[in-house]
Amino acid sequence: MKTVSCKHTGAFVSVAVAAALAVVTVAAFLVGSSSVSLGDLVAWASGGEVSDAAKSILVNVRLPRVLAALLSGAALSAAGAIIQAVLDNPLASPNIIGINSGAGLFVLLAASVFPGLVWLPPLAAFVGALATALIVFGISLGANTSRLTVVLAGIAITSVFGAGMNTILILNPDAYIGASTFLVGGLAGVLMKDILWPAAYIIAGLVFAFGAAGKLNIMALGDQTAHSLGMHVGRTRLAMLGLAAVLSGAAVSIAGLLGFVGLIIPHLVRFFVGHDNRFVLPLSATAGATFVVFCDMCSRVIFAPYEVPVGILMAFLGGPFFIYLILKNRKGGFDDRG
Amino acid sequence: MIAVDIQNVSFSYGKAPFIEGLSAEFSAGAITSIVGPNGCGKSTLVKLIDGMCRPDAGRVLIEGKPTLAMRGKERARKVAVLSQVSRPPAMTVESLVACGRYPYQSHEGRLGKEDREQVEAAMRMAGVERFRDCDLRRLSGGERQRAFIAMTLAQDTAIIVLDEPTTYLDIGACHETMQLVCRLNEEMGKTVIMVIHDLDLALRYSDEVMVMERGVSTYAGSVDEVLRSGAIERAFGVSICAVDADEGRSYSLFPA
Repeated sequence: MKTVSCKHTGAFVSVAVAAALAVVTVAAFLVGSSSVSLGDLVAWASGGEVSDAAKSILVNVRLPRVLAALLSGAALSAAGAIIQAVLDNPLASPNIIGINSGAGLFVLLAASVFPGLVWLPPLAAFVGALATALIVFGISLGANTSRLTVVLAGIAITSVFGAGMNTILILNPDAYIGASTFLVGGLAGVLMKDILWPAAYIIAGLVFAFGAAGKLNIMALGDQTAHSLGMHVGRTRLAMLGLAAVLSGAAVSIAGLLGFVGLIIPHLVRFFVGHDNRFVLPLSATAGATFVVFCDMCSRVIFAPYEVPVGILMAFLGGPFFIYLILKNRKGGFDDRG
Repeated sequence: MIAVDIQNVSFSYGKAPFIEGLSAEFSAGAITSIVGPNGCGKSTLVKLIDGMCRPDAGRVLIEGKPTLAMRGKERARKVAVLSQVSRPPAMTVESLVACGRYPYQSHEGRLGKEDREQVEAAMRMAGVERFRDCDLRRLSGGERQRAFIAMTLAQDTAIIVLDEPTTYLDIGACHETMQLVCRLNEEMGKTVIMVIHDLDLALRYSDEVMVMERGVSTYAGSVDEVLRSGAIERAFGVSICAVDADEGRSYSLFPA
């Protein structure tokens, strides 16, 4: 039900983003500390003869890494789009309302209390994200649910959980070993077995999210109008926030605390295709996947042979964009141009 | 025929009772205005009608069925409520009107043939067809209000509740909106219940008026009965002077 011109823009943007995703994904398989030729990749993908070295790199290093980047980027961006819509707040994201710091705190807790259990941290990230989502939701219900109260509550929770994380790191410095990549967000050394169950949650979460995108459009009309159209607003909001927590929790459990991807990508997408969430959600997921794969690839090459965790690179890109957004939003300019 | 029956309803936001033992009946097929000073409970009454607020005591019946006994979508097929919208959403007129079909959809977003027909008919009735592709934020206040009314029409309900439909509108758009409301009543047989601040508009365009003060209904009846009762004068501390002209009757208000 969009305008003709919007339909065309939407189609054009969809094709462009899908093409970018394909190109970046192929490039990400080839680029790295030891490069693989395009011929090897094609041969491997089509089941042909490849040297053992190239095959080993592709299967054990590149494939899990690209998949992890795709999944976490898609999940965090879709979660960001959902959270922005549900809280009716353009500045909200999994990061800014504390979901990531909740995951971070729980991971550090798990790593210091049960250092031996390697399967625990991803689960802890997951539970932490969900618990924080519930706290933020509770605060926004208890306060007047204005945009500002939710963001301030998120900042408060982030600072409390940040203090908790620092306390753990001081009392138990060993927890930092192995957690450093997690805390800044990075995909180095990701293994196939690490991403299997988060992948299941992310794929299921995305399917649910795309299916429920129409509900987000109804919520955009305001609580009272959504209610009078027959929506159970509180229940829907909790369900969507839970969905976003599942998505970002699963993403964080494989990629660590990736910064601004959940904030930037939905805004960029809305800038091109407008505010209809039936377009915004799938396109955010696709564009987010592209962005994280691209940043991860850059993180491998920019300072080669050193590798910068992808989260650092993304924060460098995301920080200035966030400032731009704040300045634009002051005049309502960014919001208006959607 | 009673479209909406409010039976001895009490409601409070905090500890102090806000609405106490309110009873009111809204006739089917009529335009009824609810008037009263600020904070008398008009908007709360709207929320009680559509179940947004749950009464502490008493009950609200929509076409004989308790509001709270209905599922959300079932209720939304009986009564459409247009609440005050402070910030227009970023969507086209056609997308907004299509939202009115939500109560009829099991899977949101996919419009069937009947849905599309209802959306077209609603836009035609409200005169917003030519704005269909416009962003709501680009429209004037009056055009936007007509688009929202089209959304409630797409809901295809017998009863429409409007919460201050003319607030923020210039005088031309006020009359335009009210004339549309009258057409909905006359041509489509809609029962209209509206909360309205402008007494002149309320008296001119309504069949019946309900006067509220401090959470209770002090008088309800036809426009002439209400004028004779002096209930509006008491509630607002004004005197009303009906002015007859060739163009019709208007009402001037003076501080008492």
